[in-house]
Parts: sequence; structure tokens; C-alpha cells
Amino acid sequence: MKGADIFVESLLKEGVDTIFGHPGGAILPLNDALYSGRVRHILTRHEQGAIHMAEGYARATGRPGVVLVTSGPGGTNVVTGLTDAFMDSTPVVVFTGQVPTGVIGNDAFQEADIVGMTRSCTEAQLPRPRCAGPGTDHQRSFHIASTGRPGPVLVDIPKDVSQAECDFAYPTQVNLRGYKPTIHGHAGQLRRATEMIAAAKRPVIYAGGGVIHSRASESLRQVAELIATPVTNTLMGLGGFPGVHELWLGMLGMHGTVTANTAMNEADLVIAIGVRFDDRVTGNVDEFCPNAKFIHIDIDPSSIGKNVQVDVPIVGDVQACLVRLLEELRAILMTGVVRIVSGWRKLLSGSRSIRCNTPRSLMEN
Amino acid sequence: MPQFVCEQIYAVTKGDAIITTEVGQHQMWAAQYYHCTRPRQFITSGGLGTMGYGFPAAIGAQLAFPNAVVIDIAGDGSFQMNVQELATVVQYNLPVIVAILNNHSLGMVRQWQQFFYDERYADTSLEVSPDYVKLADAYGAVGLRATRPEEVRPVLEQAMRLRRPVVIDFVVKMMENVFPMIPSGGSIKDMLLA
Repeated sequence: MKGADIFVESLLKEGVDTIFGHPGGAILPLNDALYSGRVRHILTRHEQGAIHMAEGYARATGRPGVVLVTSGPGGTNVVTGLTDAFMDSTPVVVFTGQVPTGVIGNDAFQEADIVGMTRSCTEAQLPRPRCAGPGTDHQRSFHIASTGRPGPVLVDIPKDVSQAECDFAYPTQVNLRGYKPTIHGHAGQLRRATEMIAAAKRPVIYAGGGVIHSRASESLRQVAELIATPVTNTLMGLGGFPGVHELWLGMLGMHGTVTANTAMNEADLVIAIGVRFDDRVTGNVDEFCPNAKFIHIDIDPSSIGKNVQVDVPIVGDVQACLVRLLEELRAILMTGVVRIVSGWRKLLSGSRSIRCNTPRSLMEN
Repeated sequence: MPQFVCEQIYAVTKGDAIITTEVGQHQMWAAQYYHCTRPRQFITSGGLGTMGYGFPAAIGAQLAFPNAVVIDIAGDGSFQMNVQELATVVQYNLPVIVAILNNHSLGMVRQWQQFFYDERYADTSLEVSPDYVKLADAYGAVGLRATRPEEVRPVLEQAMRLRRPVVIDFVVKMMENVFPMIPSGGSIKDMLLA
């Protein structure tokens, strides 16, 4: 089977129905293989448009967005989108054309070292210098993009590889040495977190995009309601907790609500879930949540303790951790340790009346 | 008032639309005034802050959910960064609505200049801008405009009825600012409310 046909077959194996791209010389064999229409190709007017469309598709569905662009400027035009997806943990797989293997390094027409350029803004780059195992590469790219902390992956395909005859085999299992995201949080840490929650007088949940990526919104709502604790969302976390819920404080940070920022400032415990303590949230880290201890649940160990030291780090998938936390909390609730801290609720409802000019009030003036 | 437009978008869509945004003041107003109730409803460029993200992201979301109401809440600065995708949205006849909060400036940077740079408005005026209604028309999309508060709701309702690619030019006040604001590197005691 031709390399280009293997590309299409592999997309179908991954359940991809739509891809976004712009053609060019080095990628033309793959566009040609897509002519059959078995996978819908959306022709964009610029490669940056293609990758942001793929990001929008991925964020709306939770499935990886797929991009197909040519070598050289095709690749360099997606670098902004790759960096964007990397920062916001959006699963995207980008296939770039590359000049034929025989002329790589010769400054061939539309040659760029896209693998080198994207090393710092992708989770992985898979240059495909030969025909061996293209199905395996393809599957690995989707696996890395969509598991663990999601993010962008780049697969660089020289033109001669997409034109060559190869054996096609699509592995049924992925086995990547050195890539084993931790899913289940440490049981002892979850127990410590439960004890801290039980002892807290002014707890706040600070929830981010990780809640959405791990499909944990329902668990988050259950935790918040069970311990009667208010929730603030980051920009990336909006929608991860109902924006009309009585426990919702609004967004926090630079342009966050007075209530949310007051709650963080006064809290004695911050339960950080699927967040990374971004500077637009913390402001001056030395004055951030001055009275609080921190529990931090995140799948990415490198996000923990990066900007703010935390007391109970829990590395794991947010949904898996919250399910376990719920069990622990319910067990404690049986013994009546957790209670609604009414003074805390009152203080927060007081700060709700502090607000800046709302558009309605301005319209009336 | 740009915030009023966001409130009206929330009201007219009954909080059920998929919202994408570009980057800047409009993004913060969208975050503040569109109360999302479900995950994957609010799609924005958070970490990198990529102007030009929202319109193509809206196209991607619309392709995934053809029947959804998808609205890109945009600024005039950001929209111009990937405006060429108007051709794509027309080619595939996607009912994406671009709601431009048009303040004829790079509003968030202008806001920082007002607060932190002695009102020296260097390089933030977009005094030369395209006519967005004509621009939409040139691409084969529908262009609409609202210049007064009472026009906001009818224009949005019209855009939603059309189920075609629509660009709405909401002409808003240039000097409006996003509040509350905690200046960069500050803390809650530095919070500005007006």
C-alpha cells in the first residue's frame, strides 16, 4: 500500500471524520489520497486558520483535531497554533509534508526544519524518515496527543515516504516506553486531602481546564455540593462548573470577580483542580492566598509546585482522583466531620454586593 | 457598551450557544457576561493569547456540531488576523456568527496605556479599518451592523434566524475598560473597580 493511502487508512482507524489543511508540493500525495472523500478535508485559506479550526474542533468534541499542511511555510505557519495548543492542552495532530529524504538539509525548495522548530511547542515530533511502521507512528501520535495532559503532536512526512510502497499494519495496542501518564492519584495523598478538607473552615475550589479535559464536570459538582464549598473557575475552566450554580463565584484572577478573588484571599484551604497557577490567576505569588494551604490535583507532575508550593500534591487524572475523593469524603461525612461553614458563605455573599459598574446600570445612567 | 452586547448575546441564545473568542477586552467581557453551564461551551485562547484564534476555532466547532449556534465574540483587531477564513466559512456554508465588538482600537493594550503609560496611546488606534459589512458581502457572507443599544437584540435575532455565515459590526465605545482589574504582578489590594 502507498504511504499516502496508509495515512488515510490510519485516519479512519482513529475514527477521524474531518481534517483541516492547505495543500502544497510536498504534501500533495496525501491530498491526492484524500480525493476519494473518505475523510472530509476542509480547505482553509491559511495554515494558521487550519490549526485553530482543529483546536476549535478538539475543544468542542474532546477528540484530537487533525491538520494537514505542506513543508516549509506550511509548517512554519502552524507554529503559533501548535504553541497555542501546547499552552492550553488541546489535543491536535499536525501532519506536515517534508521535502524528499534525499534532499533534506540541502535547502531544497520549501524546506524547513519543522521538527527542530517545534521541539519546544509540541508534546512529540515524529519525523518519519522511512517507510517502516507508518501505522505505528500514526497511532502513537494520536495516543500522545489525547492521553495524559493533552497537547499537540507533529508528524513530518517526506514526500518520497508518502509515495513509497509500504506494508500496512495498524497495531491494536500502543506501547510507548517512557510514556505512562499516571491516572490514579496516590491513596495516601487523597486521604490527607480529605482530612484537610474536613478540617477547613474557609475552603475554596479553584478549578481549571483539566476538569473539562478529563470529563470531570459532574464529579466536580458533586464534590462541591457534598462539602458545600464555593467554586471559582479559571478562563480555561469556564463551563466546567455550572455558571449559574449558587456555589459559583465567577472567574478569578486579573479580570476575575471581586467575590472569587476575595474568596481566594480569605481562604484557609484552596483545592486546586486541573489548574497550573498561571500568573494571570496568581498575580504576585507572594501575596496569593496568604492564609491558605493548597491541595493540587493535576495529571501533569511538572505543573505541581511550579509557581506556588502546595501542601498536598496529587498527580493523576482529575476525574479518577475526584471519584476517589468523593468516596473518601462520603466516608467521613458518615461520621459527621464535614459541615457547612455558614460564616464563610455569609462573607462571600457579602462580597457579591461589591461590584464594578455593570452594563445594565450604565445603560440606565 | 460592549458589555451590553455580551449580555444580549447571552440572553438571545438563552445561554446555550458555543462561544469562541479572540483575545483582548472582548474576551474578558465574554468570560464575564456569558455564563457557561456546560463543558466545551467556551473556547478561547488562554495561555498563549492568540489574536485570530476565535474565528477559525468557531469554524472547527461548527463543523463538529452543525446544528449548534456558534458565535465568535471578536474584537476588530483580532478578527482581522484571520479574516481570510471568511472564504472558508462561505465555501462550506457554515452558520458561524462573528460578533465584532468594534472599538476601532486594540482595546486591551489601549487600556494598559491608559492606566500604566500616562495615556500615551502609541500604536493602538485602528483608525483605518475596513467596512465590515461590505467586507462580509465581498466574501459572500451576510454583514450586519448595530450602532445603538436598541438595535443589538434585533440584529442578533436576525443573525440567528439566517443560519448563514454572518458578520455583525457592533460599534461600541472606544474608551470602555475591563473591570475588575488586578494589575499585572499585583494582588487583591490593588484591584481596580472603575
